[in-house]
Amino acid sequence: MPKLLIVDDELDVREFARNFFRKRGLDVFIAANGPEAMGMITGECPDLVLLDIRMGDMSGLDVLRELRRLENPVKVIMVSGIEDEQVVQETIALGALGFIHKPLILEELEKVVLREFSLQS
Amino acid sequence: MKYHALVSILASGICLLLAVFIIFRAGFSAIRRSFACVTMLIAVWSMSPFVSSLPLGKDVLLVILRGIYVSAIFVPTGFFIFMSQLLELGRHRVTQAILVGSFFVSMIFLSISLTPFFIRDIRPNDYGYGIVPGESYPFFIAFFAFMYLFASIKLWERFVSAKEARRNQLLYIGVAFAMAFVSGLIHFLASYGIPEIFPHDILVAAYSLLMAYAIVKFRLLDMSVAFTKLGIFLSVYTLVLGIPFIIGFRYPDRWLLPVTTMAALATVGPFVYLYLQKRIEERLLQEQRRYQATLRQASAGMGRIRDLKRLLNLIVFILARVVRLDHAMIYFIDRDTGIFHLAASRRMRQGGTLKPQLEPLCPVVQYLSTVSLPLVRDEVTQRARQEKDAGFAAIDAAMEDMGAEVVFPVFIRMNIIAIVVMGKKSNGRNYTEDDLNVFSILSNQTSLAIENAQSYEDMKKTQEQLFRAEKMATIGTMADGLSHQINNRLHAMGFIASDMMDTLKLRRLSFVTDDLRTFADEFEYSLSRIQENVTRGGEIVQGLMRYTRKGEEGFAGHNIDEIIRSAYEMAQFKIRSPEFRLVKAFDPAAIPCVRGNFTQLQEVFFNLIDNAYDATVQRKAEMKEEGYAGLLTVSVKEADGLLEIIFSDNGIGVKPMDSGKLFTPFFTTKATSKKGTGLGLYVIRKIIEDNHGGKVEMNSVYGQGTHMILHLAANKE
Repeated sequence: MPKLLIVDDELDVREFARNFFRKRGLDVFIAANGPEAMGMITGECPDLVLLDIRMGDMSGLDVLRELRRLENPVKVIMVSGIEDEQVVQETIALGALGFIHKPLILEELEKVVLREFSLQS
Repeated sequence: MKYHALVSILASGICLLLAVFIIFRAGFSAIRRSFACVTMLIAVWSMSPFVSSLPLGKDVLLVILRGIYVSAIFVPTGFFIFMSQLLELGRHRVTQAILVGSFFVSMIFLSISLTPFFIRDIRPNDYGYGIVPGESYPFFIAFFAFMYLFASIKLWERFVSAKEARRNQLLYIGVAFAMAFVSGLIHFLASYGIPEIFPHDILVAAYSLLMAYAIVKFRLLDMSVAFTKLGIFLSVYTLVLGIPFIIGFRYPDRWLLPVTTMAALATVGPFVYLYLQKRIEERLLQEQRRYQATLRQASAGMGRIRDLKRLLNLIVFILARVVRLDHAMIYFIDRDTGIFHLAASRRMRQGGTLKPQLEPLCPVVQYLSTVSLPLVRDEVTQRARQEKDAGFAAIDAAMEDMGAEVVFPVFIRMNIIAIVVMGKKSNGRNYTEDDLNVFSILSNQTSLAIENAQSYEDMKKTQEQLFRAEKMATIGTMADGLSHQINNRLHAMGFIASDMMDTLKLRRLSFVTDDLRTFADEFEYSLSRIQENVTRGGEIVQGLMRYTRKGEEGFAGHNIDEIIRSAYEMAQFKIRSPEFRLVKAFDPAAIPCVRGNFTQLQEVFFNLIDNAYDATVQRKAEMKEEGYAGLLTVSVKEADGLLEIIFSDNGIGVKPMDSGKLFTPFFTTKATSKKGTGLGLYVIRKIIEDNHGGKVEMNSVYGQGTHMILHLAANKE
């Protein structure tokens, strides 16, 4: 079963997103912040990470940087509101697969994530 | 017949005393100086019978009498100067000509005064010597008579039109100078050999006594107090010195008696004098002191009051109390309309109605605005009647209508701001010069106090506005964070609802019974309603975020048409009139996008549309033109990568005097009922010039419309 990690500091968003993808037969893990996300990624080795950029102490960008520093090749899709050009450029340089803009719409989320998995398989 | 000599020296002495006293005790105002001068001349002249009775020999006397006559030569001129000052004949051409002419004539007589051509000789008469007139002497008599008669006619004219107190003054002065004139006539006749019925100098003495009395009684020359003091001094010391003298005269052998009386009286004398003086002063100054005390209190009180309404009430109260009036009112200007509204009133008696406002076209308002002097009803009535002046007749009618006896204006920096109206005095008397003086002081104080109160109120208002602006800014910042939070919650809710609906959709096939299907339908419907509400809530929050100053987007190219559309949408809350149209006079496809921050540009456009709308509403209300409809035309020009966006409205326009102040924060000309914040144009300029590096220009013609021109950069792509 494909493994998906959802990192978001909003409880409702991560839980219901998990709910949504479970119904579509994915193995979904959740993390509420950066350090938790790092632990999940090294422990569970997900196939894909949905990574929110704006979070408390350690932002999504920080997590991505840390992953690349550790040479972890995990696939990452960034979730964000309106970001400035610089952040977008940096995440692309760090190998993020794409951007999903908040507010999250389930249909869009489904399309992006499932396409990724279908490409994988 | 030594009587003539005695009366002569007496009259001369009294005149001299009067003149010297006026000079030394009452200061040197022009009118006092001229009065002292003419009295002095008369004193010298009236000395001649006494001098001629002295045993000096004929030759010596002739020289002395000719010398004394020099003073007589200047009497007519001195008298005329005094009269022209008293009657305020001023710089009238005829008066001036006569004055100069009389000087000239006096000089001619002076040049011949020591020759036989003027006084030929002296001859013995009842008491000594009298003059024998020379050839030119009759001309002097004619000169004397002419000057007296001319001044008397003027005096009579004033007397007829004067009011009570002034009338009495003039009456006394007229009678006094008439006596002096008659005395002169008797003297002239005597010099032609017609015997004197009685010593003519008695009339001169009477003249000076009468003048002294008039000065005390009618406050002539402002020196009644000093004069009364002199009177008391003289009478007290005549008694102190006179009684012992008489006693000593009656009982020449008892020397102790007069000495003791003298000692006793001399001890008591000063106390009696001081006591009398105090009482008299109190009586004389009573009215004046009352005025002064109230004014002092008033000015202290007025300075302290910062509330305009209370201040105006205090002023009418003071007026009504100081002058004891039937009623007093203050009308205060409304600067937008020029109408004076009744701001405070006080009435002692019932009856009559107060006018609630004075229109700018009211003749009284017009007069006060231009002439700035108090109007006194009596004078207005008189001028209307005597001069057949239509302007004064109108003012008279208006004052009648207002129930006004006296009206005076209050000015602040050359602008009339209030009109004080006063009714009849409670005791039915006329207004005196003293009253009017008090009013002029009060008017000055009033204007100071009003200015004080007003600046305080303005300051308060400015502070309130600043405070409100700060509050708005705080709310703006808060709303920014708050709406972000609310938005997140709403999204989460929408997200949950979507997921639930998704679940229902996926499980639908497994709902086999009708019951379950109905349940699923209801559930799905409820969820869709939740989603709908969440979406609308989100839109509202988005709308709120538009108003917060901080635009979230960076600089980008924006379609001008789109900005106008969204700004117009925002303005729809306010624009109700179907008679306001916005016309886009450009082809949206043909012009490039403008480079800038959408939210900020939207705000600028919104403000411009809002201002244009207000301007058209104001024009409609103020100019009341047939078939007028508000129109705002937006056109765009492009040149060298620069855009010129022009908003042209046909609204009320801007008065030239306001155009400099328009971009100042908190300045607004919008009518009071829907007053703007005064921040609109300030914000526009900040956004366009500070944030976008552009430029704002304004051309406006009052009554025709306004062009607002924005210079902004076009987007390069």
